[in-house]
Amino acid sequence: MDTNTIVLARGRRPAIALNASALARKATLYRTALVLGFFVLWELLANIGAIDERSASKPTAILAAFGDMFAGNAETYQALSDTLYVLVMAFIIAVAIGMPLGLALALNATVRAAYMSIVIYLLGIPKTIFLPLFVLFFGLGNGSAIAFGAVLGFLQIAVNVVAGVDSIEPRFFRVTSAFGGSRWHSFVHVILPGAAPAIFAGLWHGVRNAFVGVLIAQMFVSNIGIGYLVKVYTNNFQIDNAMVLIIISAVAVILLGTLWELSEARLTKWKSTVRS
Amino acid sequence: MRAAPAAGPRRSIVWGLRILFLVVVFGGWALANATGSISPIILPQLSAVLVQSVELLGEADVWIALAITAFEMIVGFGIAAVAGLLVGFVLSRKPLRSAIFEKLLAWGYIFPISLVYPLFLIWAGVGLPSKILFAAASAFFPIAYNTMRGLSAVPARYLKVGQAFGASAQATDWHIRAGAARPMILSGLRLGVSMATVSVVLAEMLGANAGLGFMAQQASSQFQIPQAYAVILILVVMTSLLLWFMETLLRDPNERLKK
Amino acid sequence: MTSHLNVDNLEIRYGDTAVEPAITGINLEIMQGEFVTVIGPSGCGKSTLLHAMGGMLAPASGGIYLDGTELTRPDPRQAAFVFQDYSLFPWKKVVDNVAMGLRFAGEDKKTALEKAAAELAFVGLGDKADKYPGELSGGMQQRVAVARALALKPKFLLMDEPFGALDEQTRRSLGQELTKILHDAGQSVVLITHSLEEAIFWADRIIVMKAGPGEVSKEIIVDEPWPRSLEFMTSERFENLRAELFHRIQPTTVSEAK
Repeated sequence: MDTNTIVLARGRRPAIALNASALARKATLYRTALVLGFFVLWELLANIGAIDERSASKPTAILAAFGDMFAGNAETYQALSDTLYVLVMAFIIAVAIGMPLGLALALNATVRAAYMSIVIYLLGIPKTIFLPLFVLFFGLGNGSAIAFGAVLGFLQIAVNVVAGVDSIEPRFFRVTSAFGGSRWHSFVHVILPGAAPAIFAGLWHGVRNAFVGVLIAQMFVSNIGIGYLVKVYTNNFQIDNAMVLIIISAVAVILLGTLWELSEARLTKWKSTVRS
Repeated sequence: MRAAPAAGPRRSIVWGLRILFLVVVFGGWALANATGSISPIILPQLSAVLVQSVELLGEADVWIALAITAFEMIVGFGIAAVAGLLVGFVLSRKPLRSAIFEKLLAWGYIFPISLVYPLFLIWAGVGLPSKILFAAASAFFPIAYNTMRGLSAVPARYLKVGQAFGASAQATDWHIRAGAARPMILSGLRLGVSMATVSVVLAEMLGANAGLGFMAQQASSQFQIPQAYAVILILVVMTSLLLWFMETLLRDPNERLKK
Repeated sequence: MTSHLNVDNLEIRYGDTAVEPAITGINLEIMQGEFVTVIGPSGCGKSTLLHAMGGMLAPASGGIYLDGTELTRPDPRQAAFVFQDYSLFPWKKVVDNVAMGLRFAGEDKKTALEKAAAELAFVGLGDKADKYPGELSGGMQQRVAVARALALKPKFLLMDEPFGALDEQTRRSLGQELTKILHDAGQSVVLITHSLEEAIFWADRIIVMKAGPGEVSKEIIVDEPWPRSLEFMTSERFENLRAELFHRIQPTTVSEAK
């Protein structure tokens, strides 16, 4: 999560960098072994009956289910593509609301004084409380999932934009004005690039929370999508199938997160040059 | 170094904007009621919701449901806190250990854990244990992750000071590591509180036989709309109070000074 | 016609009229091509004076005039600022930092970058254009900050303790090198410092300030010819000037030191 410090240590102290990367390699090895060991143990315990295979499945059964579900089962593809569509829509709405809201809160002291506490409050309380209302307003189906994902996402984005703008040191605004920069200049040359790392991180939290929101809403109300299928499979004791979808979702989030971290390091290379 | 230091935003405008917000929300609500532009099956009369809430608060059932929900949240969080602090502490003791588990704990945190709640229902039944376990599982990861990170990323200069002043191993743990890690551990615990509340509410709505979440879900699926709104209102107030209490309890003393 | 910067009966306040002004009754005239240093005890308002000269502070009374026109807002083509903490944008490459003021002034990107590259070469950093500021040492960052100010070809260069954050050795060598190139280029400079040595070595004229409220207590002409060599620093004249300055700012300096 805190890649910056890692990049920093690597860039600045070659001697330790070697140690650090050796440690990291070793850690990756052990971690892989640990994860594999976990699955092997699961399989063994299920085979000797210590784990109830019917309610907890086992790795080989999940693998087999994986093949079945993707071989001749349109339902799977439908659920995946529905979920992706809903997620993309939720994220677009979250960005469209969260970014302007975040900028308004960050840049206008009056707006912030009036509404920041409301946004922080909404961020804090469990939005799941309002699920029944989403069903009432947006119906069963994609509407509720999009709306719920968008709400979870936009709050995260807005708050991160505010944090990003706040993290810019006042001296940079002073320089801009000393060199004859206008408000527009300070927006383009200071606020946007200075807040870029936090905004980028905010977009990630936005996607992640939108995804969580979409899955929750699909489980709660929808009759389509991954969330819905997981619930149905589990209720029908098709745990293997449910596990396949759970694992796909987990891997998707982790991959996306890793990808995000890598591209963040690339897009905001300057961050690694700043000594804190 | 600015001339005429910018005066803070005018209080009258700030309050005006806040009131405007309330007017838009509740005025819009009342307007929708009056004109019938939103069906009462979706949006009941504001007054009906308030009356219903007051009535509900007079019923013992609601207080029992409230107690159950709060109990699940607190116990779930408590289990996660004990387990998370312990695991985080043990994992932070060796650099290799932290390096191995850092990613695993972070993944556990970003994984959309709500997907596995149906499994908890199968494993632990429809009663309280499934809620408590699910809340504990959700809250565990941020707590363990932050505890481990906080304890293993203590700035070297603090440790050097300890060395220079001849601190024993225990003194280093207690006076330096714990102190330096405290802000991060507390923030992990606060994240844990929020995860626990979200999870309990979700769990009660997805599959339960008790609790405020269950009541809200029941009322709305039976189209007792004012009652659903009223239960949701009570749930909002209850979790807000709980969150506020826990936030105050878990605030970093240094942050309190800054404020 | 040579330009001149006038400070006319300037008073700056940070609070209301009940509070003592930060600086008051300041009258100065600085001619183009002149090197002026400002020295004084902490809290004498020297930095305030310089910020006002850069058009960054509104006077309570009096004003700053450049060739007769009042300066009411920052105009880096007239008077450009070099900050003590460099304040380079960490997210812009060095050359983009130097080009910043030109871009603000509306020059197109290509011209601005060409000029910036030339200015970087002028301060001896031609090869660092594509680095980020965070990759440079403190001394180099301050050179970049000087180049950023010079890129606008300002009539006056205002430097606010530009070497305050550097170590003694870098401070001296960078100071000497920059004095030389700035002086050779005929650049007018107003420099704030708390180092007696710098105040004398750089100056055609030293402005000595006193605290409580900040006022000019003395102006000293240093008529040592340019280019100045290190020998000047060990000469008797230098020692005498140093002694005089030391006594002038001593009382407050000593109590500050406690």
